[in-house]
Amino acid sequence: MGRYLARRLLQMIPLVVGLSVIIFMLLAIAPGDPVDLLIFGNPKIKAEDIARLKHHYGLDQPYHIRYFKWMWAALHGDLGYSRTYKVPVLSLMWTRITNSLWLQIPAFLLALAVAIPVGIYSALRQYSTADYAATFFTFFGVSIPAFWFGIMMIYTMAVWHPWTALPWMEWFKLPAGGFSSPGIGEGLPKYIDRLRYALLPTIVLSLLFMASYTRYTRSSMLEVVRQDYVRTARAKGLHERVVISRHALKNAMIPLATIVALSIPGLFAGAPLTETVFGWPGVGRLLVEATLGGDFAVAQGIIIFLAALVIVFNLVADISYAYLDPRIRYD
Amino acid sequence: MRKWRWLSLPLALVMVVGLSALVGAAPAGGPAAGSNTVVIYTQQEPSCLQPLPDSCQMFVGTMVYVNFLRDGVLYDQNWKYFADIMEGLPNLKDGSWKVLPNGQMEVTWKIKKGYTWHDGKPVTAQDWIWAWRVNLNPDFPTAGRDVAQRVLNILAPNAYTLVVKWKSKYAFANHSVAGSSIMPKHATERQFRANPSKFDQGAWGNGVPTVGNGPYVLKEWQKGSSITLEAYPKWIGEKPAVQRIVFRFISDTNTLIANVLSGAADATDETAIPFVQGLELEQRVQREGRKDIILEAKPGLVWEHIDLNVDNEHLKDKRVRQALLYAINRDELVQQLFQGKQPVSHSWLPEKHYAYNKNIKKYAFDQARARALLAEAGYTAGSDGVLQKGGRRLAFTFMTTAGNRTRESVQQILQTQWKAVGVQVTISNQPARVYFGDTLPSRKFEMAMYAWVFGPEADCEGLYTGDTLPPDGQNYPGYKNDEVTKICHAVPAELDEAARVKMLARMQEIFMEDVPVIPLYLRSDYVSHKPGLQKFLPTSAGMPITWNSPQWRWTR
Repeated sequence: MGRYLARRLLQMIPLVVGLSVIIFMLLAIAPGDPVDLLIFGNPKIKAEDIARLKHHYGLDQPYHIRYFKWMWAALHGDLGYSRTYKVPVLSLMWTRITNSLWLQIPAFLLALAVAIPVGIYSALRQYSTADYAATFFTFFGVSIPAFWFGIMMIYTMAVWHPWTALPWMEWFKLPAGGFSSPGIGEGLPKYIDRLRYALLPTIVLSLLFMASYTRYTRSSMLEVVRQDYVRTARAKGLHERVVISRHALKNAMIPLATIVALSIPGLFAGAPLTETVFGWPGVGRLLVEATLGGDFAVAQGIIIFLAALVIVFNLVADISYAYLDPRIRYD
Repeated sequence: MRKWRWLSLPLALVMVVGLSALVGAAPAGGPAAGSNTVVIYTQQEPSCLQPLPDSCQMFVGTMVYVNFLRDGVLYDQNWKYFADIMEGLPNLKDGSWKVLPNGQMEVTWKIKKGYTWHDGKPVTAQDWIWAWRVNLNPDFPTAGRDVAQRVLNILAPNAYTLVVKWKSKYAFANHSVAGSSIMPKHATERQFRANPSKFDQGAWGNGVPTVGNGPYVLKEWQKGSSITLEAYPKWIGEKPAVQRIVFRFISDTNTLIANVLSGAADATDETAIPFVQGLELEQRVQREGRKDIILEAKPGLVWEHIDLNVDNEHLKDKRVRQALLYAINRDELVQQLFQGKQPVSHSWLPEKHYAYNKNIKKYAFDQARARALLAEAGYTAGSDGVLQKGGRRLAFTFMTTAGNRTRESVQQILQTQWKAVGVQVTISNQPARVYFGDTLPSRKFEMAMYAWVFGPEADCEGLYTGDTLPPDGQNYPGYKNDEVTKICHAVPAELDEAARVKMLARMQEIFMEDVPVIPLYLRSDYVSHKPGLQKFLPTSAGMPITWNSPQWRWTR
């Protein structure tokens, strides 16, 4: 296992370097560098000023020099400076990832808390009304576009909100997007305020997670309950609850654990659509804005960070598989 | 019956919601956050809040910083310039603006005493001189140096007088002190001198001013979310009636509109609601009889047009260009798509511009005339109905920014109209980054639709001068006319407005005879505000809605 781990870790180095080259080059060779885009709105800018700006940002240097300079700085913990936000990329990324996690972690946990019991129940009562309801709900969750559902939630909870006419319901008129109320201060009021803003995007995000995890749990459980060892457990006269929890559920969770492990990098990637619809300053929205706005340093930093996370969590998934499934050994 | 029991909870919820809907929940009509506050919603977050660094030329940035950074000159809703913290605008009549015998100019500004930076230090002449020096420093990445480079030097005979010496005559020398805004010398000099090339990565240089000098103080900037300003108690100009202004940034238009409808937004700026969605919102507001939202759309200075590449084998013939303009019904287009609220433009200058030529050739829709011009140019109908000349079909690729629904609709209408006179047009759109970053600057287009954003003093230098084809300027059509080039270079140096009007009138006459560009329409931007917010006076031009924020007040 130790050797396997060391080999996988060593393999990750050329993979990350190769990815960084591809990502850097893709962004660098795309037409229209930040200065080209900047000068477009300024008919009176002179050619000498354009050259001066390109030189200032190092955009007049060959691609490979730019790459090595960037790589050298990155190895020293400097991912560059955001032209748009005027802050170091690393601190910008960190703030935005934290913001995204404000939504992603509760949504993820809520989704698991609902999806696993619903998926199990649905599998155990296959073709029952509850199973049909759960299946309908999962199809709804998988098919519905996040931006549409988000907008519907905003219109219902922030624009329409008829329940606020009832006593004590004013709190449930939720903000129509945003991140926090200006001047709210620090401490508990800040967190309560943030909770109100986070509620709708969390619900939207969790629905998406929930739907797919319910499907996975249900199908995995359906497969397991038909296995011989489950039949044997029943034949031994074990109580149904023991059969399900000890023999079926444990095995049904193996594929789900892998899927959950592989979902974790996605949590750090944010949710561009949901974040955009709700005006939430997360890392997903930042990546889209940086790519469209030509803020290369930011786009590069985020993509490479996410790529590295995917690689790491693939390894984690492989290792966890070995722990969960005794039939698998890495030598 | 038991198996339907699980439905009882959702049903009960629906009933509660339905019953409470009958009770009704009217959206709030008053201020969203109390009568001391105005909450403005906008789509984009500014990257920085002072005008010097190159990436700080955003409209929304100006909307915010005009409240806490005042550099002496503003213009109002009638596009009339006025002095702000100066005694007055220099002018040729009272000698404050002099033309010297050697062709240079001397412009004297008197600063009103008593204005202070928000750290208590006085605002003095040195703050303008310092900003000008920083702007011209080659190590500092600024893009707006055109005006600053026209200034020879600036003297300060005393702390409250500025004498600006211009290298040559410049018509708009009283619209900006030295084309470089203002910067507190006491707060920035040490840092700048330490490392000018890294100045853009520290306070002020990075676009976040540590102190301002305007009627409001920058209180809080929650990146990605909001900016809060608070009234500056020591401001000696008109005292702000509203104590707090909050800018909130919501990038999704639907969400932003939801905030307008829910009463969370007291006002929105010109960039917040795209025209088509504004039109839909206006209809909804009328349909529902809502009196708590005022929506306005006035044509401004954003000009939608189609550049024709005059080096193209067909487009180099003036008659073809004129025929293309005669062949399209722009009146019907703006009526169909915009209910006429974005007016047809007949020149590159908007009608509200001081030098707009009313008597210009207008090219009313006339397909017969278009056909005649094309026949005169030697085009005959081919077997497929498309005109051709010498075996070459009269076919063009028509480009614009991909994903812009309005422009795509315009393309489809024009494509059909051109087809009717035998011109084949193929639509091929590109992402904005490729289009503006590569296709236009390298002139790899035949017909290209986009917009120019002008200022009230806009002229044609750089745009249609024969010596400013890319990379030396932005004459993308490649238009060359010696008389036009001469006029365009001469206009900024002509001090007499009447003479400038005459020169630009002649330029427009030639330009619209040559038609290197098809003028389409002037964009109107929707702004919204609550009826209780008084003195909300959008300019529909480069000056944002906040130009007169100290005058804003809520009706009781």
